[in-house]
Amino acid sequence: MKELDHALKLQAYVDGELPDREARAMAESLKRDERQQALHDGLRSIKALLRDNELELPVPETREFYWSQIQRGIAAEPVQRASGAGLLSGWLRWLVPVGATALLCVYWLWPTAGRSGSASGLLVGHEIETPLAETTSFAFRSESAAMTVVWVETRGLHNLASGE
Amino acid sequence: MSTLIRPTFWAWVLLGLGWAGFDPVQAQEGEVDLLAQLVWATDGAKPTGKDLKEVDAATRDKLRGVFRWKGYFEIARKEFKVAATGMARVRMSSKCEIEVEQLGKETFEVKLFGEGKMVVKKRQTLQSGELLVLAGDDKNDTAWFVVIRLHKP
Amino acid sequence: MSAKLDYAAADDRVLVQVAQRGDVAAFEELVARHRDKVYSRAFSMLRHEQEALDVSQEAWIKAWQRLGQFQQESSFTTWVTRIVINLCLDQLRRRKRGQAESVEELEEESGGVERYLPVVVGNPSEGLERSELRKRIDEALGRLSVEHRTALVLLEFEELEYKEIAERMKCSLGTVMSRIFYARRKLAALLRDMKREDYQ
Repeated sequence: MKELDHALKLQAYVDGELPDREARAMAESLKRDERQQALHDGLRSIKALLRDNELELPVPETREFYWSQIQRGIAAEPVQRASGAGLLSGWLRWLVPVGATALLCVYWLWPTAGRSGSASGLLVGHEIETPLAETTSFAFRSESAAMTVVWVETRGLHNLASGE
Repeated sequence: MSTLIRPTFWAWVLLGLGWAGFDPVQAQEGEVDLLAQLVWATDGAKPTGKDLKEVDAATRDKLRGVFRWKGYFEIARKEFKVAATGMARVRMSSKCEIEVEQLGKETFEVKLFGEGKMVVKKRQTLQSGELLVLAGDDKNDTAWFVVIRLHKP
Repeated sequence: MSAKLDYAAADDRVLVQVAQRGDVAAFEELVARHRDKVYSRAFSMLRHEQEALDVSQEAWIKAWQRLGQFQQESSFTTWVTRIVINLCLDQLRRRKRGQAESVEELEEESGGVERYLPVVVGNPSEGLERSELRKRIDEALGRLSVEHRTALVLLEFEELEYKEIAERMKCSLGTVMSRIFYARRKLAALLRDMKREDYQ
């Protein structure tokens, strides 16, 4: 049993699960014990073998057919926008209107909060304001292009480029 | 007298070092040079009768990396400076203006005006090589882009 | 949305952001990009083609429903494979409920015959193409017990820590460690046997 415990500890060392101090002690003891060193090498090689060699199987269906089944599922089930709304019960039901009122108070009393029309929530911390009622916007970032895009959707705002 | 102890040698060295450390983007304390381009994107051919040129290859490739329009034409190209905690308003076309304010190091607030009304305001950090693109649909499945970046004149 | 994004060229982060706004086409691109990975992970655990297909599709539906909660703190693939892993674990639990305990399972915690096997792999990749080696490893994984295989897949493919594996498999840390140990021993023995067969 003691031998198994030691083997499991050695395995934890190989898997990077030992605290630093114990890992250092294990590294030292390995230098002195050939049998343990052999077990260590075996564990390490099987670990490396698995890590680099996961089989990637192609889905045995066409892209269109596979997607069509997902699409049906998406259409059938509602999107969970807020977590836990369906689980509210008892006193928690009271918390919603009270919390909402509190939030509204903060919204109106805070000098700058919530004055941004239909600001996009996609890029948190990158404030966007679209003050016109008929305008919405959303932002996204492409790391590969090192580019932040704010896409503005508005009725009547055309010909900005041509100036016609 | 050896070369190393000649005063003129050291004067040249200091001048060289000073020159190497000179950053045209930061010409004055906190002042930055920016470039804004107004770009029109289309899948169609280049419109006749208009003096349009294709946008530079670097900008086109960046836009093509994200969007699917085939052609990107430069309508206007404006180089301008914004002082530290200062602001600049730049006319991109008769209908489109931008206002760029420097809020702090590398942080800007950009406002886009269409026909005099503020359409969108965005706060953004901009570092060398980074692009801020304000964009939207135009008529007939075309689009406009205002591309803003730090610039070394 | 009419931003006419080039979905094929856009990186995952952009697609996620756009899909979070309800753009199904952006989500479809994500599915197309990562469907093999998600299906493979399901197959690694379930070893059943139809079940793996069903579970992988269910994972994508769940991913769409929960996309609003994904804050992009990890990569999209990590996030979506976590969903499929959880569904596989549920599926394995359902399967187990329907089966009587086998001798193999009774020997599970003690390691059975693997207990006496050395962890000596030799070099199973010697003389093998990478794709052949991968097939061989997959075949060996398929011959492990469900518990051994699951522990190993969660550790090596999903890169979970022992503690996380224990939580997901609803067992103790010690059980996870011994399952992994015996799984490795058996896997080493299977690979060694396969290699031996090559020479015969």
